[in-house]
Amino acid sequence: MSAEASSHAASGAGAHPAPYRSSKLPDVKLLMWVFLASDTMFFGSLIGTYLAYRERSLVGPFPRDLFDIPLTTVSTFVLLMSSFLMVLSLHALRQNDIGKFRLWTAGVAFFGAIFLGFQVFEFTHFAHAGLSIHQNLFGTTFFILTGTHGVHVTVGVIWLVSLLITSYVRPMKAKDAVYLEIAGLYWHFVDIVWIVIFTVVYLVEFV
Amino acid sequence: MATAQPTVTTRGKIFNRPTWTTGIGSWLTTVDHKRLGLLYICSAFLFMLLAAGEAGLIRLQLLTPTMKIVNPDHFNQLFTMHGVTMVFLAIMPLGIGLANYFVPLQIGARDLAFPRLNAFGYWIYALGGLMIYTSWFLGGAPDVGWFAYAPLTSLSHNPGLGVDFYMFGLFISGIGTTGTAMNLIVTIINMRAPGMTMMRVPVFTWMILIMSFMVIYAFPPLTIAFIEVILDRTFGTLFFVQEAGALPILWQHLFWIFGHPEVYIIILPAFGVISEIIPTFSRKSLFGYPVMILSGILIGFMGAAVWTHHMFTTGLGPVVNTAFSLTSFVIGIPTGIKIFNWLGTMWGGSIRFTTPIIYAIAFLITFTLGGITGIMLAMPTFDAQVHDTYFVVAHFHYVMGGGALLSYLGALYYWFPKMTGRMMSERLGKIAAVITVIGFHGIFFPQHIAGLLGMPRRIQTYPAGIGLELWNALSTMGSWLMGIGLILILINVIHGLTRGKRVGNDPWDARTLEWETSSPPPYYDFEVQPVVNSLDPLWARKHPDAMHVTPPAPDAGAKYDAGGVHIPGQSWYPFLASAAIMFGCYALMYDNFILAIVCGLFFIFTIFGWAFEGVGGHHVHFDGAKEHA
Amino acid sequence: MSDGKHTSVSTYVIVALILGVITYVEFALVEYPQAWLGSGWTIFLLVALSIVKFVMVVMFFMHLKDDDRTYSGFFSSGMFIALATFVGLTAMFILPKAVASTRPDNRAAQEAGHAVPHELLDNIETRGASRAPAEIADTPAVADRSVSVEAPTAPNDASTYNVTPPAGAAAQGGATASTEETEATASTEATAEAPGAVEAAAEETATEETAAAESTEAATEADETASEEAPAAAEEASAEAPAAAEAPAAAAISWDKDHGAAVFNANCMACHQMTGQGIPGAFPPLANHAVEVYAADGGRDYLADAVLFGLQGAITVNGMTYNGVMPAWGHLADADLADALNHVLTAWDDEPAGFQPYVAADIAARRADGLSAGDVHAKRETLGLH
Repeated sequence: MSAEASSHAASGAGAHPAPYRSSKLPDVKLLMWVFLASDTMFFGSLIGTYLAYRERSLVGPFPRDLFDIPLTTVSTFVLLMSSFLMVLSLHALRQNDIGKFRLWTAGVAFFGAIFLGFQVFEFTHFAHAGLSIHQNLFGTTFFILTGTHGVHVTVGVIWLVSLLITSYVRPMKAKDAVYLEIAGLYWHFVDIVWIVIFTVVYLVEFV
Repeated sequence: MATAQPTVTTRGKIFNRPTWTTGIGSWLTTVDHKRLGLLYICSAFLFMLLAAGEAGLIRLQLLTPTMKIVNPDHFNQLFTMHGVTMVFLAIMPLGIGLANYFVPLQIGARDLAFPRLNAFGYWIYALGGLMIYTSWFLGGAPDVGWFAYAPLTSLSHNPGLGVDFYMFGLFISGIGTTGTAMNLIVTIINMRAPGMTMMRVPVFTWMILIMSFMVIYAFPPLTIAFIEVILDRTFGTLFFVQEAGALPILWQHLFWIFGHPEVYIIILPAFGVISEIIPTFSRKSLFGYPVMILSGILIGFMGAAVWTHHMFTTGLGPVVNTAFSLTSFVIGIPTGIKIFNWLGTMWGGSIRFTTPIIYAIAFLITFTLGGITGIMLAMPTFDAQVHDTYFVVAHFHYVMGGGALLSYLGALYYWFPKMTGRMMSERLGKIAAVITVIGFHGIFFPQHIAGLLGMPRRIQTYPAGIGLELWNALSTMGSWLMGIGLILILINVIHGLTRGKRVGNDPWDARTLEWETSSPPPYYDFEVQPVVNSLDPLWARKHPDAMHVTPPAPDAGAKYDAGGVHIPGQSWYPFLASAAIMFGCYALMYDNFILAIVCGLFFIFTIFGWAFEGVGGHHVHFDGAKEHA
Repeated sequence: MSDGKHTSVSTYVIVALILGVITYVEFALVEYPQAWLGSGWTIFLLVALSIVKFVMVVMFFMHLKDDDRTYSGFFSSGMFIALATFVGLTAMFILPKAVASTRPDNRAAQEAGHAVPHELLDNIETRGASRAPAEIADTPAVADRSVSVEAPTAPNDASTYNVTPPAGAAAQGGATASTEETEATASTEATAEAPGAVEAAAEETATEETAAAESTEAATEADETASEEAPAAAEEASAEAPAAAEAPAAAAISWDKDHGAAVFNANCMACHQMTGQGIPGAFPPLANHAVEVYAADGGRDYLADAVLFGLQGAITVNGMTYNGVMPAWGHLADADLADALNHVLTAWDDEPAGFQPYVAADIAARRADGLSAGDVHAKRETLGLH
């Protein structure tokens, strides 16, 4: 068929109806879930490596000499509560309550930063006790596993802070909630990874 | 057909949105799935020619006993680079490139869901591949075999840079592959044409969907394994340091948890291609479409549960060996089902013997032979006898080369008219096909026998008088024949590009949506959003009686385009982000941490630029009567 | 969640409270261990509790409970594959170790300290076909390495691909080693899996062991069984015969010469070479050197330590400095190590004065020390060698 074609810039989103989609799932959210499914294998490999090398270190220090369960419990709790704030933040944005959205998002980022603070403290403490990535297999696998998790948390904090700053520059409305939602999904995923790490790395050591 | 120059708003960005439509800039910044698909296909073919050259040298060295063409050191590098290139840089990207080009066309979409992510996927793959190849000039290529077993890759055993190139290059190109796979999943779930339910999706697209899932589950363990070796080599961790109590076998596990799914990642798109070619040239719909899909899904799941059959001889114990031997047998079942479905499709069809179907038939025979030796190798007792011999080499070349490569050559002939608007010569094509296939079997069939006689793989030479001369000589001569075949194909491609007969939309009388639009397709793919109400929608339009459906009206989809067709804007960021990663890896390799940090910061900058730039682009309107803003 | 079916805030609060309580319970279980629970149940409880937490976060915070099934499908298929894969993988590493550590002969070693390297690699299958050598051995390491790393440094590079008949080829580079194997694998028995010299270790150790047990005339058998060491072992055996006959001390404790040679050839030869000459600059010689060490005060124990725990650090032998790494071989059986050491001390030199062949008990006694490769190096320093 012959047709007149013309084109113009994709200016505002409002000018055009959203393009046809064969499912109700927003593209970005679907992408995030697919990414998380993939990330399970990523952390699975790291945790698998840790477990495969558990109790195979030839020289100390060993996990039992170093782990401080009360401290780690507190940092686990902090991360769990940050997840809680995350859902509150999403809830607020969906209600178009920008004030609360900013408050809770700042709270999540803050709690995430506290968790990172705990991790830095823990790492320096371990380093003083003689554990390094060169010391033994425990050091190597532990630092890389929890370090990778820490990097994920850091990325999450940066992401949330960026969203927070963006909300001051561009207005954020309930219909933009999906962008917060995917950040939230990522954040919760980092949280559930920590739930696994807390059990199989820390707690099991003392049973 | 009118094409209007897009006008693009610029809002004080760091980079203005590029708008080139020709020249290098247009290719560096393109987000068009067809251009990226072509880039993928061309790069993959280039890498394949390099790998074929390496294979040629290997065969030449083994022509007669005690040849001295290649010294042992270079021989190690050659077989390593041959394997790495074929698996990671040639055949797998060929599948992904075909997916890039034809998945949106087959499902009636205008592009992938995330066009810039797609561009990033291509560039990081291409730059990663280039990076590995620079190793030839920077102190020697990797020489550790394509699976690079630890502790051979440790710094004390392998102080050169070759291993670093292997690790970094494959690590970053793996990131690209994973990103593209996620993109393809979202595209196939979300961007199918109206009316195209999952059970009306063409088989090629289905196989790409399954392949993409396998990619996202298989690549992370490999990425972790690479990271562990990189950390060992660059920062002195102990992941594979035996002296610290580490177990190098962990590398084998992580590698093969990736490595076996990888086999199916390579072969599934090939299955898809065959499932397109055979029905088209048998003029008969695919036999057992749902079973075909189901067996594909089964292969996907089973593929994750067979990895230790590569490790039968590492002493994992009878329990583990038995379990994985059983799963390896079971995975033969869905594959067998597919073979019979293809035969069932051809049975009773009116077959046209074009070049693509010659490749398809060659594929069926070759792949079945490879499958049979695969079942043999799934027995740990037999595997213990022939492990690491040429028997294994012959087996996986029958599967990867005969399976994937032959079907991709078929795909080249099949889709060439769609990509270029011109036909390749059928006569030359058939001659080349026969020579290639005979050459292929000439190379690899004798290797079965050499392997059974005990010739270990990866040896640089062998003594006379132990019964290997004949088989090696035959194999090398086969490689010459296949080389001639490949050159003929290349000539045919050039001939097709310059003098090929021009063709219309549907030169093969095909069945799926990509043949509905012009050849080559315009940048917006379809003028009217296609609407679908059956499998094989184009066939249904041409032969509604045969399909027992009333096809939708040709302009039924116009209402979906009421707002105009959105064409995403070009962008510099994907290319820049990939370049930042590549230079960061070079910096890490040469222990230049300051440069690495600079590259890291630049990468973060590109990510923010990417995020805040937005998808951009413009809308195209086709209906002159309609208002456009 | 775009369908507007949102979980209410009160649900979130309740979920958060439950999560907090569960975390405290987990903490309490570990911090105040309950004797009546036992460690098995405690671990079970901990895992169960963390699964509950995991599922609650996924269901309520990530909204999978009310959201589109596609997400659940994608995520749970990923979780399923990941769980199955890595539980399987971890089991392959942990179970053999658990089985091994319950065996009596390893208990003592384990009690001696955390740092016992060999218990980890112990074999379930017993009977000489130990797991560990196969693991290490299945890498194509040695053959490839000796080609790629050594070939360039070797003074006579050309010789590395100058094929010589198998019999005398042992000292050649990797290419010839492989060639030699072609020979071996071409014949009937053909373990066939290996491009590398160490490769066939596991199977061949087993083969050799049984062969040796059956008869001491392995020398004649060997040619037919065609494992690559066999001719070598035969040669070795015949070469030693007169020496052994002369030495009266050897009669005191008998040891299996063929077996010693087999263990050496399967595990040590790749680096130290068949003639014990080593490779100058890379791997120290044993010939003419091991006997000196043995003669030194404490040398007998030191040699056992070096094979059991490895050796890391610079050493000087015959005026040449070596700074490589000797891997620990503790995963081999005591008797294997004893015979290999005896082979090293008798194959190329006259036996040291007062030579007491090692027996399995000697090695077992050294095992209990649980040294690191660095400790062994320190020990070497105290021997007062030049």
